[in-house]
Amino acid sequence: MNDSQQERSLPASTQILESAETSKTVENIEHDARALLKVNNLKVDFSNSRHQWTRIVHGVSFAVGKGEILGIVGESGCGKSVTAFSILRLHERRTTRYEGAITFEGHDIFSLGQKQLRTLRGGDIGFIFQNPMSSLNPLLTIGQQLRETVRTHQPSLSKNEVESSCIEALHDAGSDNPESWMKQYPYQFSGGMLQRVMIGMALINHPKLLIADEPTTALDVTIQMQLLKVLRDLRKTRDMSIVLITHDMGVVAQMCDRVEVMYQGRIMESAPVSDIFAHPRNPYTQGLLAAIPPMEGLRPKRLKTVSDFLKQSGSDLSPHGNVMDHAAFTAKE
Amino acid sequence: MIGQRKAILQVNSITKDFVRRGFTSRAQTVMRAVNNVSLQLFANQTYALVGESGSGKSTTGRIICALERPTSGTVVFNDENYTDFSDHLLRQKIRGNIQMVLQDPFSSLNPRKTIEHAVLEALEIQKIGKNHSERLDAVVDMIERVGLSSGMINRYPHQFSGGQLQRVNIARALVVRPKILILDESVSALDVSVQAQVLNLLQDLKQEFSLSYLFITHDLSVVRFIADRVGVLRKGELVEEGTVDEIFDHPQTDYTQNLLSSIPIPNPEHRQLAF
Ligand SMILES: Nc1ncnc2c1ncn2[C@@H]1O[C@H](COP(=O)(O)OP(=O)(O)O)[C@@H](O)[C@H]1O
Ligand SMILES: Nc1ncnc2c1ncn2[C@@H]1O[C@H](COP(=O)(O)OP(=O)(O)O)[C@@H](O)[C@H]1O
Ligand SMILES: [Mg+2]
Ligand SMILES: [Mg+2]
Repeated sequence: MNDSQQERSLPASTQILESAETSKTVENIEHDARALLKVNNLKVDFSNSRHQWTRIVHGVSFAVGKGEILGIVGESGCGKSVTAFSILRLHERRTTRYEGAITFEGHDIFSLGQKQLRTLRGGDIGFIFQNPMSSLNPLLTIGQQLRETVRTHQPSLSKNEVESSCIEALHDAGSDNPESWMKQYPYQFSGGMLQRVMIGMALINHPKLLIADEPTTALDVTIQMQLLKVLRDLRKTRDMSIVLITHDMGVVAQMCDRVEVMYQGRIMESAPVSDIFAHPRNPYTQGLLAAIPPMEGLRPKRLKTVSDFLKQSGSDLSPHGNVMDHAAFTAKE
Repeated sequence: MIGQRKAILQVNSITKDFVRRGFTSRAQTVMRAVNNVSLQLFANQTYALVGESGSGKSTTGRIICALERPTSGTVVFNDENYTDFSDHLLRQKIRGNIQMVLQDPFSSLNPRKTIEHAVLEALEIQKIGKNHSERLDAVVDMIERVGLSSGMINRYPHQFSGGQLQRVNIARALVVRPKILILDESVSALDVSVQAQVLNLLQDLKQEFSLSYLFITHDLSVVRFIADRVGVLRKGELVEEGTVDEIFDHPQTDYTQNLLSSIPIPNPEHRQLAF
């Protein structure tokens, strides 16, 4: 409680500065056709063993500006991870069909060759997942795995340069002792430390964009807060953009500049965080916010649920806010 | 007020040691998962047991549920010390009165059995009900009471969502009409809108069946809504205990303060991280 009370009693000027910064970022994205990442009317279909195709993502559009933290929030199964994986075409090639366009620094992801894609993955675009063990080899030391990642992307570096890259990345990911971490094996680490290793690994080639898919969901709140701070600091020190995928509106409020609210494969609402929390326009967003048990004020006898809001609105789930549609996207090009 | 009422459950100075064989050597190390914990549950009240992962919450819950025996200390239900009860006595006097619902809604259901079977089985184990048709009625009643339709009882677990399955688990626990329900992270894996529905349901059921809940969670954001009293565990020790208002408004230890201030506030005007 102390932390938040201190926050609240910050001089007013600090807060004004903060919100001014936020709105500047937002303006840049909306009017800057050179946004770092643009996803335009993305549709993703998967096929099953009988070659029947099912659409999971139904035309999703959003853009991420330089140095921006964009949140994608929604409940499990709404298509957040499928969308995130599509940005790097990480889905199984034979069973996936993409429509629409994704551009990163103006390059069309869907027309890149496999080799160029591999350069992008772990290069200009870093990725971290909910479960760090899924991307670490239990039999190799952290150092062996980090060095390998550097060498793949920057083969010309000397041994010493590789070593210092690794140490710097671990340090920026919040390791208090990068040298000793390099010598250890994954099983010697707690979940929070492993996630720092993953952040370090994602940072190692100085990405311009970090995609973080529920990076703190499996961690204790105290550890989560430390990692969120690491991510906030990174965007500042490295001017990196972050796509932060989460189901937690609290994380969105604390971390993001803008947010896309996703439901059943569609973006329901897209807005700067300050707007979404002050004036949610879509009934689904309203429901998501109202269902959170309040941490202060009166304790309600019952919690509101999303279905209360969907019923009220007669299930009008048409998108709200500046949800980018296809036409708006092309007009900006 | 609490001092005058009689506790339905008393946990008296329980300690639980786990003995671990070393990885390479044969040397044994003792891990104290729960250290001298005492707490009381009162009728129609919810006691939230909170703390970081590994702090001993589940072990405490399992000891109360008599799935594990404490190394020392006693557990007492309605004035009866059941710490050393035989399996037979536990089945006779405790299992029907103290039930548990776990975090993963799938883990406690057999994927090859219908949910009718799962709930019915709970009654059969407790030998409740005169005959099959009476038990079946009780199953259907309880399934409907937790917000599912009776038409669903012949379905298999994989045909349900996580939230629905958690309702099935609640129905199975409550069908034997226990006095105490231990909810071990039972809503932690649910999406916020589903979580709100299940929390509302739990509040209703508590009234209707005069239940006491031991609500185990690492997520303090739901505690303020659901609990009357809160106990805070740290490395197996109960470091703080009080009413919800005491704990949330005047936490006494740095540990509790830190747990509370780490919950991300869903309000961008109250940013907790320094920039
Ligand atoms: N490779 C796949 N093939 C078929 N269906 C998939 C695949 N990956 C995900 N899905 C389905 O797509 C939906 C969205 O999943 P996902 O993006 O993982 O949701 P979340 O928002 O929780 O990250 C889910 O119903 C999931 O079962
Ligand atoms: N069966 C067991 N054998 C050995 N150690 C255990 C066992 N069960 C729990 N522990 C240990 O006891 C501690 C407390 O565990 P637990 O009660 O599950 O904590 P929590 O539920 O608060 O996360 C942990 O360090 C855990 O590893
Ligand atoms: Mg996901
Ligand atoms: Mg546990």
